Amino acid sequence: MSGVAVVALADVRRWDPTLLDSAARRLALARDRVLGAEPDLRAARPPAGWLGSAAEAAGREHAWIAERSRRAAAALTELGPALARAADTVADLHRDLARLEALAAAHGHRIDPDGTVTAPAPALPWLPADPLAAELTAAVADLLRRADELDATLAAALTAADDAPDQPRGDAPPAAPHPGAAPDRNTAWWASLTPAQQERVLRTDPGLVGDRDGIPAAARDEANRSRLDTETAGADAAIAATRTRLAALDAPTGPGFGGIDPAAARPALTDHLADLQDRRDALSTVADTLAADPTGRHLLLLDVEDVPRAAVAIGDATTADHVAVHAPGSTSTVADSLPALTHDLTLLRENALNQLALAGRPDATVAAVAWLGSETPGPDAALARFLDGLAATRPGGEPVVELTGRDHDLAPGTPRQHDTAATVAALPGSTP
Amino acid sequence: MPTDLVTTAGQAAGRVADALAGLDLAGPVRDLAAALPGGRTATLAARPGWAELAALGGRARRHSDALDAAARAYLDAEAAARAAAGPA
Repeated sequence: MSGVAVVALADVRRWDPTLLDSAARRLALARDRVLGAEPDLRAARPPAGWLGSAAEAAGREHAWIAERSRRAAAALTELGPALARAADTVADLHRDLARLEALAAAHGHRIDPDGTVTAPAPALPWLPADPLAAELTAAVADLLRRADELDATLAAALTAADDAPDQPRGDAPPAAPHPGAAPDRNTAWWASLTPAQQERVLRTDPGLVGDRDGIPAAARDEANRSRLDTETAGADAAIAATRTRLAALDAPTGPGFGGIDPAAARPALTDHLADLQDRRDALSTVADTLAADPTGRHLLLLDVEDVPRAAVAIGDATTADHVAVHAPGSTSTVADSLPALTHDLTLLRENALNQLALAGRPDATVAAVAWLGSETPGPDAALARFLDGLAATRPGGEPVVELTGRDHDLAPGTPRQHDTAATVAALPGSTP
Repeated sequence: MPTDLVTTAGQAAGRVADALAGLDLAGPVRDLAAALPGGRTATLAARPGWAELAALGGRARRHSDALDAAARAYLDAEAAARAAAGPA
């Protein structure tokens, strides 16, 4: 901040707090609407399975819109705090200036447009100068300093906002490792981000981290809960669109159906609708499972592009002292199995905590994870990667135990794991 | 080809267009300059470029239309292929 005020008193007199307040309110509204459009903007990204030149063009267009929208949101966010107080500050300046001018007038002084205070000539030449002139001069200088401070603050915010559309921001996060990268590389990438960068990734691109093995559980949960809302809205919209198209087959006169046999098109659309409803059911089940314990569960996997996949942790799988994962296999579906599985694992976890307390470790923590991510029977590379990812996020590299078996017969998967898992494997079946 | 997902993405882009198309960023920034004459704020607010947000709405609308057209084209092609193949 410069020590010399740039703003003149004549300018401050013309400042308009009402107009300023109106502008601030409209800019805040614009900011809210841009931020509010972000979930739809994410959902407007062309689907991953769409290939070809049209898909590439749509992808480029979406990227252009998303980037400009992000910059607009950043610009408006920069302006917000400075503008929120500006109208009140101007009103205060006007009130104080009126008080000074009234005081000056009452004593025969004059405050000129440039801020100079002129005192009346003393009645007798040898009388000392009126001390009020010095007091008024100091008060006007202070008022101008406050006005200049407000102007400088707003100018700085505008400069930052004006820079945003055209210049890359210095705190842009480094690119994430490619999707097939080892989980520990993802862990290192996430740890390299500043808290502000992590927050930005979670807000602007939750799909980048929600299912990325090696990202801490709490961050995956935040990203996936955001995606859950978006995916649910998308599924509802897709169901409605498909129903509309099915209905159109009964009156095949509109654009796009001329010359097409409705009887031939109907099976494809009916299959689409069934898939969409399966997806919607899975999303509802996940939402209900999380709602059963709003603060105690983490959504560590959410994938509904093909066969729905999900993983829900009871407890924090990154920070807990002991972590067990149960994957019941590809025959278990999210919609059918997740509620019962999380119920069983909740009991297992409570029992493990009781056992740990009896063993003199009342402060020990446990997390249990229901993983419904299998796509094919047999050994599952995705599960192995998920387990490696959880282990990579744990500060001491403590092992993650895989529990095998079904229903109430869960047990640590291998003898090697058994010793490590002794405190965790207090099975629900042995619960009194 | 996930036709329904293209349709869904197009609908989402339409909602983005609805949200952004009516926004006027240039107007309130112009008022900001008028509310604080004589200062650095007024000079900066007078710079061009603040209308970009309104342009975003138009781009989002065209993106939505393009996705919708693509989804319809794929769906028509799919239905035509089934019709050509005849009853199963």
